[in-house]
Amino acid sequence: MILKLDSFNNRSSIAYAMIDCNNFYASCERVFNPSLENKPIVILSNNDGCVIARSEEAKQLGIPMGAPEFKYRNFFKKTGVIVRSSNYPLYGDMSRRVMEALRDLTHDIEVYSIDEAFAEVSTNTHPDLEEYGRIIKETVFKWTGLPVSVGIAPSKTLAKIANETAKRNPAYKGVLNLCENPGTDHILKKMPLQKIWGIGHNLTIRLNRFDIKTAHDLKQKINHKRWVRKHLNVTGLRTVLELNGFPCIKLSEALDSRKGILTSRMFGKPLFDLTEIEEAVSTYVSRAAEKLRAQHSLASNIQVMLIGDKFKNPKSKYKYGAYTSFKVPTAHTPTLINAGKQITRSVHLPETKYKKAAIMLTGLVPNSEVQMDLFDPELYTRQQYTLMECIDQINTRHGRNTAAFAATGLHRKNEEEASWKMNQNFLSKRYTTEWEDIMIAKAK
Amino acid sequence: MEGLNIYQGGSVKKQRNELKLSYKAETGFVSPAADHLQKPLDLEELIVHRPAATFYVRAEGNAMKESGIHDGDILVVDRSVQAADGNIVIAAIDEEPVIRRLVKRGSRLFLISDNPKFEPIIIHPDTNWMIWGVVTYVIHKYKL
Repeated sequence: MILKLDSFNNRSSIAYAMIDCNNFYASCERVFNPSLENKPIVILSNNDGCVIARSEEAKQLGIPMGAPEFKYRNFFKKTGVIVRSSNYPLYGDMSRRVMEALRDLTHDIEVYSIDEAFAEVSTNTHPDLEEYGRIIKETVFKWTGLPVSVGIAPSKTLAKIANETAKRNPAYKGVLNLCENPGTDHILKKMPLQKIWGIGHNLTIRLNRFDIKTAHDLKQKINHKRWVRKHLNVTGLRTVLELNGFPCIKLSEALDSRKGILTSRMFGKPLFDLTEIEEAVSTYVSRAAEKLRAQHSLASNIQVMLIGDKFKNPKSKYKYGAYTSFKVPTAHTPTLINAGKQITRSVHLPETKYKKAAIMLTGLVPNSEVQMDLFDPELYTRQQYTLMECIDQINTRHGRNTAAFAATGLHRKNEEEASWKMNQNFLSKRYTTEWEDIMIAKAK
Repeated sequence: MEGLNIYQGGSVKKQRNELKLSYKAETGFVSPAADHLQKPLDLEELIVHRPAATFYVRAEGNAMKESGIHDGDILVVDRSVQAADGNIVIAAIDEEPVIRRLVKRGSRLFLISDNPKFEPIIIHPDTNWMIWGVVTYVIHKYKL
């Protein structure tokens, strides 16, 4: 490979944009409640345990990530912090809208997480990329009410750095284009290694030994081919090239091929009763199976972990799990629930207080890769597949749990009755997924 | 489906399976209408032009009755539409969502209500307001 120092000989009409939502969860809460504008907001984890997201104002107050709610309760009251339980139906729907808007605005996108995406942008349609970045930012805000930051650069690694810089420094007004930008090196000099996409903790320590401390230091290594070959693996080399403006990491063809699906929740209160624990596990398995089908995958294994209280149960049996494998990968909820319940029964210890269950589906394969055998009842058959499709459609159309499996504890009509249900004492409305919850405007 | 092998700390336990599922394959005749099948009309197709930017909002109060908006109606609101003179809008005024008609007179902007009881709001440079979205359809249920 011949490495040229001057990367800008490598002119291409394609550049990469990294778009991410500013304080996504807090911003979602604000769209439907304008009175939250400029107020400090914190979002709590499932079960209202600790802070998982903060608005800019809450960060300024010095509230750390992971702050336990009970410890900060008085501080929140005193300082007027707005507290919200996590409202994933709302965040999920708003995320979908942002991604849809980006798909309309750019050539191609890769959803990177619930609130970030990479996009391919082209100078053929928008010669002025910074202007293009502004259009993306303003359009997403107009359509969805969510503020985003946009970083544009010749490579994904640089686009992430541009995005980070645009977000941190108000002077950029949320948009920074590093394509042919003479200020790039100045920015890279201020960017610590561990902030670079794909540079992990271990590599940072190793590079520090060679006195490589910033993105700019690493970029310079393009002139030391022998050193690069000796001390960096392929990923490291790619990062060096990307920092020099040579794109080596293309947009993924599809959503990141996740290795597994995890549903893990705290019970509303500690549980002894096997029946109640089975119901909770069945419910979490159902959710995981919905996610699995939504990404057109099948699972080869299911793992169930029951987590007790290690302090109350010093025999250190506080994390207890088991897994089973299916002969043929499946996405059939009854099959998965059945396996989940059996594992639960096999790991459940009497007289033990459990406070959490985690379900993991692993060995995911795309739907298309599995031969469906109609003659072996053991397999995930076409009929099962059709049944699951119907149920998912009903639930999408008429609300979650319209059609549910009895194992999930249907007979407890009242959510309050089920003791494993989450605490969500500060939940905002599901403005975009429940008719009863839509925003109200006064005619006056 | 027979028992499952459950792996737990290296040992394998056999479990008896308790769930029996059976399915019957249905076969039917091909309908002569199959060649002429069309998708049934979809109301959403008619009223939602830009799904990413379309939200539903419930109206409260009868102050916009002359414009056809009654208490309890569901409004279809498209945020991607550029608000123009005469449009009904959802505006956040002093951080409260309200329904009014946007009126432009030269360079001046007003938000007016159908009910004369409510004064027109004249937009000044220091008015705390924003247009949240433009109302494109009203869904009104008649009493039966």
